[in-house]
Amino acid sequence: MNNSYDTLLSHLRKLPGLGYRSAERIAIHLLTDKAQSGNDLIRALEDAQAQLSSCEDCGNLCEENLCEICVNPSRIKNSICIVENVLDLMAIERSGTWNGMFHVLSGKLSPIHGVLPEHLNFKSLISRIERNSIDEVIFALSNDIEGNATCHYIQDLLSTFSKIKFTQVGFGLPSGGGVTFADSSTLKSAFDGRKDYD
Amino acid sequence: MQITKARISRFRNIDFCDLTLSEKNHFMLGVNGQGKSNCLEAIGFISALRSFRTQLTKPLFQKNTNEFQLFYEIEHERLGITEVELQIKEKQKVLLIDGDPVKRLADFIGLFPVVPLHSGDLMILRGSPSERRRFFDMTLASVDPDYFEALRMYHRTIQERNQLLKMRSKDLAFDAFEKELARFAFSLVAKRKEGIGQISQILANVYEAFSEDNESPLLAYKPDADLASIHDYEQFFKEQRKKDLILGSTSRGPHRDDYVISLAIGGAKEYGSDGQQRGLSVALRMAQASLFESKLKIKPVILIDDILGELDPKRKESFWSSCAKDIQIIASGTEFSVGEASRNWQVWNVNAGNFKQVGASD
Repeated sequence: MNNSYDTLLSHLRKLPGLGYRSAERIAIHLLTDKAQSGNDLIRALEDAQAQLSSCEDCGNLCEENLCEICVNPSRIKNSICIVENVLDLMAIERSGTWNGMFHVLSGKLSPIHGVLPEHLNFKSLISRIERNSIDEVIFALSNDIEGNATCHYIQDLLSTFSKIKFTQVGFGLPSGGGVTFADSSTLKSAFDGRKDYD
Repeated sequence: MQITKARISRFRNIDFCDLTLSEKNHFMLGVNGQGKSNCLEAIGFISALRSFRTQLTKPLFQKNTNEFQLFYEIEHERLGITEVELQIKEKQKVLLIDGDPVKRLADFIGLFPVVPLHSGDLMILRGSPSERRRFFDMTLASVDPDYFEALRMYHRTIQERNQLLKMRSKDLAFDAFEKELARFAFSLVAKRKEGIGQISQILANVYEAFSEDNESPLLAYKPDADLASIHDYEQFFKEQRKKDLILGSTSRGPHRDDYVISLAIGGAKEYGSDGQQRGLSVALRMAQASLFESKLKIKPVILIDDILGELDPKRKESFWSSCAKDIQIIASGTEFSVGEASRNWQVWNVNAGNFKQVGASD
C-alpha cells in the first residue's frame, strides 16, 4: 500500500501470536475504524514503558524498585517458585494457588537458541537466597529438555545451600479435560506423576 | 489394514492418479522409468510421513512445484474406514485423519504400518551403521511410542550439547544438559536391547524358510556405550567433554550404536553371498512386518518394489509362504513374475505416470 502502512504492519507481525491477517486487521482497526483508540494505545504503551521496569529482586513487572509480590508482607517469604517469564507468573497468580515468592528467569537455557546462563536472571536468584532464609525452591518451568536442564542447572548452582528442598510442579492432564484428546507426551507425564488415590 | 483408495497428486512423475485398491493384491506393471516405484513410494509415505527411498523431500516435488498431496482411504482394524490426507511442502507437513489435523508425529507413527521391500534394503546389511540405525529406529519407534519419544529427545539434547561445545560454555551448563542426555541415552539403549532381542527371534524364524542349509542368522546390538545406570552415562558424557570440545560435537553415545547381523560363516556384511544378503534383507523386512502385526495388532500393507526377481525360486517360494493371504500386497515389476499362483492379482499398466487397471491375473 504505502511505506508507513507496511512499516506498521511489519512491526505488528513481529508481535507474538500475530500472523499476517491478524496484523492487518489490527492495523486497519487502529488507523481507520477507531483512530482515537490508536492514539490511546500509543499513550498507554508509552506510559507503561516509562513507568514499568523489572523488579530488582524477582524480575516481575513493577512500577517501583520492588514488585507488589515482593513487598507484600502476607506472602510466604521462605519459598520461591521459579518461572520462565512474567506471563507464567501472572497465570499462577490468577489461579490463586501460590502465596509464596516468585523468581522470573526471563527464559530457559537453550544453547541452540543462543540462551546461555549469562542471559538468564540467575545472579539475583543467588543474591536473594543468600539474603533470605529460603527453605524450598519450586520449579514451574516447561516440561521439556530445556526446562529440565534449567532445573538441573539451578539445583547445581544452589548446591551449597544444603537446607533448600527442591520440588517441581506436576505435569499431566488439564482439569476438565478427558484422556481421549490428550497427546501421548501429556499422558506419559500424567502416568509418571500418578499418586495414591485416597 | 488395507488401503482401498489412493490418490496421488504432483508426486515425482505422477501428475495425478486415482487408484481403487479394493482387492488384496495389486501389481504395477511397466517398463523402467514409468512411475511404478514412485507410486509405491507415495503409498509408503503414510507409514511415517517420509519416503523409503530418499531422506530428501525436494526430489519428490515435480519441476517448478513445491508441494504434493496424497489421499488414502483405509480399512483399519482399530479405526474402521478412515480417510488420511497429506499435504507435503518443503518445510511443512499437514496431516488430516478423517478431517482432523494431527500435529505430532508421535501420535501418528505406527498407526498405518507399511513395510516396503525395495532394492535399497541391501544397504541395511552393506551400508554404514547409520543405515542400520535408521531401519531399527523406524521399526522400534513404530511399535513403541516411548522409544520414539526417547529417540526424539535424545537427538534434540545432542543438538543442545553440540551447541554448548561450539560456544565452549561453562561446565555447569554442560552438567545440566548431560543429565538430560544421560536419561535419554540410558532409556534408548535399554529399549534397543529389548527390541532387538524380539526382532532377532522373529528374524531367525523368518529366515529359516529362506535358508538352504537351515542356518539361523544372529542379530546383535552393539551399543557404543553399554552402561549400567543413568549416572554412569552422566559420567561418560562428562569424561568425553574434553575431547568433544576439540571436535566440536558429541563423539560417543547411542547415536553411534551399530547392529551386527551374522550367519554361521561370519558377519553377513563381510561374508554373506549376494543371495544370502538379498534373502536376509527380505527376511529383515518380513520380521519388521511380523513385529508390526504382533505389537500393533494391525496387519501392515506390504510394498514389493521390483525385487522378487532377484531371489532364486526357492527363496521366492519361501517368501510367499511366509506372507499371510489376508495381508495386502502392492508389487511392481517390469514383467508380471511374482511367482505366486494362488493369489489373484489386479494388474495395472503403468505408463508415463498414468495408471490403468488391465484386469486380474487369473
